[in-house]
Amino acid sequence: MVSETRVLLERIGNPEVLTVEGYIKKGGYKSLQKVLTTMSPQEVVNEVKKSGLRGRGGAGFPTALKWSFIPKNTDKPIYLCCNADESEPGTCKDRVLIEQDPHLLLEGILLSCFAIHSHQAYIYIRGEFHRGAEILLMAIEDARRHGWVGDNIQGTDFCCNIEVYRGAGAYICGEETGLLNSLEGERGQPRNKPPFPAVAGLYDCPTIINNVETLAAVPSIIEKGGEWYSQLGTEKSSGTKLLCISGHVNKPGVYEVELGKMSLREFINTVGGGVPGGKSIKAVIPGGSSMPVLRGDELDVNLTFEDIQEKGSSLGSGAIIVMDETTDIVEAALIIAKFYAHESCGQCTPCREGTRWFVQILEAIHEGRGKPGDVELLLEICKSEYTSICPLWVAAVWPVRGFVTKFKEEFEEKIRNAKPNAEISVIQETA
Amino acid sequence: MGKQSKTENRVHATIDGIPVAVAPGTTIIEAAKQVGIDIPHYCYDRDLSIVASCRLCLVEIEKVPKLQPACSTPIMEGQTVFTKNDAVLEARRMQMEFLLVQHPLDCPVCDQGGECKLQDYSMVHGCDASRFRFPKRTFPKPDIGPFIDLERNRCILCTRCVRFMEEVAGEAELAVINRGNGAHIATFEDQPLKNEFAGNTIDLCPVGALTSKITRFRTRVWELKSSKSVCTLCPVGCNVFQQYRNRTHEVLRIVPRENDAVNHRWICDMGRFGFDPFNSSERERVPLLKKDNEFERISWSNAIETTITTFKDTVQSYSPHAVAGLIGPRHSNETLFLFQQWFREAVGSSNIDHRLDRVTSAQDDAYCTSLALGAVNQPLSEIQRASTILMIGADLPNEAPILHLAVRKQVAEGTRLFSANAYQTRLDSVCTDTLTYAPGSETALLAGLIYYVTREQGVVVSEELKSFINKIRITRIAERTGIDKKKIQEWAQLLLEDEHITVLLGSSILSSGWSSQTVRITAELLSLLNENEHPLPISVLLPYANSRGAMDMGCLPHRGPGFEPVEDAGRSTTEILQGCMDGSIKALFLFDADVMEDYPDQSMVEKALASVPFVVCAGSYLTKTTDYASVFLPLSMVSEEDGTYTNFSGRVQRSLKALPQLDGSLSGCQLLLALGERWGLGWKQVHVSQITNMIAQAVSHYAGLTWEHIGHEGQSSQNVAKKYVDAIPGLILPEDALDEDPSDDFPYRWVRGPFLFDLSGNKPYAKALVERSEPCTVRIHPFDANELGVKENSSLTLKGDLGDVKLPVEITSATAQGCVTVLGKYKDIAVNRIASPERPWVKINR
Repeated sequence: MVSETRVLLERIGNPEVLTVEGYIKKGGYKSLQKVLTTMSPQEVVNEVKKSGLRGRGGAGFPTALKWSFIPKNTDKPIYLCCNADESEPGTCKDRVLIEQDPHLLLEGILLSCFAIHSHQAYIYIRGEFHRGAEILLMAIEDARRHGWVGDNIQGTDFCCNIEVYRGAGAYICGEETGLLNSLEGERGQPRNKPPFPAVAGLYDCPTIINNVETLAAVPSIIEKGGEWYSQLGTEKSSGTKLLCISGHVNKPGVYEVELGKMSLREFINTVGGGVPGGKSIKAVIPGGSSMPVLRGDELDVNLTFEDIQEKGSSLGSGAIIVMDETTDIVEAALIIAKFYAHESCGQCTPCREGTRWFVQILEAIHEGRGKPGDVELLLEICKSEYTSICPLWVAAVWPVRGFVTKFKEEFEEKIRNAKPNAEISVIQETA
Repeated sequence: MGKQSKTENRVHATIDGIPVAVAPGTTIIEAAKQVGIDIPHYCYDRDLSIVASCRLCLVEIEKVPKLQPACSTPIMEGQTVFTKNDAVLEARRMQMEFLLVQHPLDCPVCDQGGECKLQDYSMVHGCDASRFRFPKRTFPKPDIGPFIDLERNRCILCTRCVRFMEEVAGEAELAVINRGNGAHIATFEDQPLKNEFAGNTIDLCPVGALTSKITRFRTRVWELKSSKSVCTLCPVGCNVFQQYRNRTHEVLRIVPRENDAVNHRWICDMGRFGFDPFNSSERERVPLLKKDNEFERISWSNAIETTITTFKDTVQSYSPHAVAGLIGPRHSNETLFLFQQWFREAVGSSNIDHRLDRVTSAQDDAYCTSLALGAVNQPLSEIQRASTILMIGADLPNEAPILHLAVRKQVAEGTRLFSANAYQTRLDSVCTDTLTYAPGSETALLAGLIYYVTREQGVVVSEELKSFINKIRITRIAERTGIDKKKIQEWAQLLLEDEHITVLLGSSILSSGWSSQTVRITAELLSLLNENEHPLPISVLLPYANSRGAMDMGCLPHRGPGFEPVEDAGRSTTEILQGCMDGSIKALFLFDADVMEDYPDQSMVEKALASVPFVVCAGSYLTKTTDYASVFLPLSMVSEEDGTYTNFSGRVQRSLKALPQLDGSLSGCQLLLALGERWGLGWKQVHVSQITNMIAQAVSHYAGLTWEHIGHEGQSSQNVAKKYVDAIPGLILPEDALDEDPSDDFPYRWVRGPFLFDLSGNKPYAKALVERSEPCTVRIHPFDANELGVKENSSLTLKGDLGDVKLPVEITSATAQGCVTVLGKYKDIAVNRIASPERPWVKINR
């Protein structure tokens, strides 16, 4: 029987753990205590390396490898930024961790700071997460009072401060360099890479940016060992993963599963409770709205990073959006395209111009004003996917290309049925 | 060996099959340029930070999966780069299509047409049809001031303008606001641009988003021709192109001409937008003769005849010394040279001067002193080498704008900047430290610095210096300057931390009666601080575009061309005006010398001009001064004259005319040559270049500076060095410099200074400059305002020994307490008619 494996979500739903005492009672800060008294930073890095932990923000980059990019013997301060700007449509996992087990995140941050020789961490939290920010601030204060944050943590030489910085409502500030600019008080737009943040990030200093879920996995890796963690899941998708399932399912929500133990269809039908009314599934986005869609007949794929990648999509941030047979695919594509047009920072040409052009074409098709050639034009525009500064343009291209290639007939049908005199909805966008 | 290490220090790579060897860190775009490959780009500019946002310069690098921006990617050893393969061309074509998606394609009505990078790159890299069929995005059009038109719909958001304002001009007045497809360029709350370098964004803008309002709709760029000229509005002499159209006899645009020794590739808005006076219909074209208090038009031959006859009669009836001449130092070296030559050869008098803006005695001249000390010929590159800059009485943004940019850049790169002045300037915000001294006390401050520097150093070698220091009473200096002695000591210590110090003296220091000593003391201070610095790194900013040339050419009563002392020294400006009043001067030649506006005491000028029987005025416009003319001779302007000009640092630069002369006017040289011919000196009309070559013979430190040799980029004149030791005064601290003479009746110190956006000279004839100008105000300190009960938006009457003027008040802590400051000159406001330079005190009536 397919079911959850709770590692990160172990303490969820227990308000007691919002305090340091409650958290400790439930086994918290044990890993940090262990590290402070018995381990070296390099040993922490080694455990994380052994665990095979990959970044949970969407790109799946090996965490220990990212950490290793910090220049050795740098005389600049090293910063850790926790990316809590969870904004990818469909994704709602970090919020659960922040609001229901904040000390787990703090412990993960402190352990990681210890590992990378950082003494200052910032939690960049999505502006709309009012409650999350309040909870984190209270938790940090509580931890400070109990000697878990600040100078000489638990009487050792290790000093580490954590600050919460609230975003102002821009998706692009979840992109790591956009996040850094925003954190510095600049316009929230991404930077060109190289230099990579690990070399020159926040205030030009070596900086590591990790997702909330990634950092929250570190305490159990330290507690039970990297070896143990790597035994969970598959070789390339080790550990557990938080999945956020939404759309046409009976039990939408955040669940923690061991990867590789079930197929995508099984997950939707068991953990997700199946589709309401027993309707059939038309499409599933497996990893947040920026990932290419899978057709309903492609769901018997093993739920791992690598298997879904083989299908031409990605598990991304773990946001699974289910669309049943009643879904208007063109409209779905339009809604997603509108999101990226709204969130483009406007800095570089393809994204600034392309995202709006996508919307205009999809809108025309949807409203019955499509023209022959529109589908081909959409795919042509998609060819410029890798010409932008940051991945936002890629995130806008993939779903469009996914929808258009996998459901071409629906787009073409709408174009065939276009009313030649359909009223043009003039977009008067004066900024 | 040396050669080998040089090659080791190069990165070798291949671009489009062509091998390149460049310095490590060179970007692909620059490396490609070196082998003649032009990679198209919009956002990249070599003087601005790199953003790599237009994505037009994407290139393929072998073994790198994605295309990379050539502007931000350093080329690496062994790399193979493709700038024209299919992947690159396809990406480029796509970016071009993206950029034109929202663009209005209104080329027929766009001033950028013909020099637009969107047009150019569309031709080469774009496609001929758009696949975009939807309504285009539009933005509201703001008014960002009288100079620049912002058309956001044409903007491609390359952000060059934003980066220029922030990184070069230093005032981030432009920004991108909103995001995504709604992102656009804006000023804060659509306020007008104020920074004086904003006009450079027009040149930087690769499309028609930022265009000149002055040139707007008046021409198409392909109608314009360019002349390699020099701006004559300030002593820096920025290199410019005057762009003109013969058909309508108009200069229609002025743009910078690159010259790293002067202005790099920037100019200020005054120089850029101030050309309308060249074209104005109000320019005088016909000689005038005063009859019954009315001017009547006369012929040139008649005018020259009248002038010569009267001057000759005066010389014969009285003496050559009854004739005097003043010349405005905005003219070319050739005109200045001929002017003094004509006076000395024809009239036989040295009653000539160009120092119109200050009270002068014949001998006292800081500039001669500094030249004699071997200072002054300090090119920009020398200033740029200094790691500490000390500015005394200098207001760079208003007296030498482009120097302000250079210094700002240097400060950003780590140079320390110290500024002491009688009031705060806009550059103060980037200074390491600033001091505000009591007006006129700069010499005392310098003496105070010497006092503490020698105390810190502990040894004084020279006897002269020893006795100088012994006479200094530091408490008296603190009292006079209004600066705490501890602060002076602190500055001395800060200056001692460095051995590469350069000094910029503002033109205000020339106004005191002891300016030679100021320079002498500065030189002494520098030789204490700097190790083996010859020539002395001192620059004196001069009040006019060619003040330096006027001195080099010998437009001085006591010195001829090349500073050669003259035996029979004549009278200075002040002495000439006095001579007019006491009747000893009978005929006065005012060669473009607007003394009514420039001389600090207008009532004296008025009396002088009313008393002298015969006044000949030459100029391009009628002014308050020409009201007193017996004969008026119309002159052509810099747009119509070839000539050379010498900037404050001794750089001689050639300016070529744009247009033929306006019918009826003569150039300065033509007029003087005609006067010489008619006097019987045997002069005849020649091209300016021949006079330039004469100067190269006559002025010793201009040796070799022929018309050809000066070239389009200009050449430095040589150091005058210690040849003229007679101009170096002994090291004393003048008693005057330590004394102030306020009185109870006139309790406030009267301070004047330059102002870029005033309405002096020909500015009133440029509509845009009038619109941009800021009104004449009297600035008082908030404490004084409080004491007087004066509120913002009210007016005050200033009364001094000369008269009173009512002006709107501006309450600002930029003015020192106890001072009233009025900046700039205004055509309709006689600010030189309040307090005389000898009695610079005023009272304030509400």
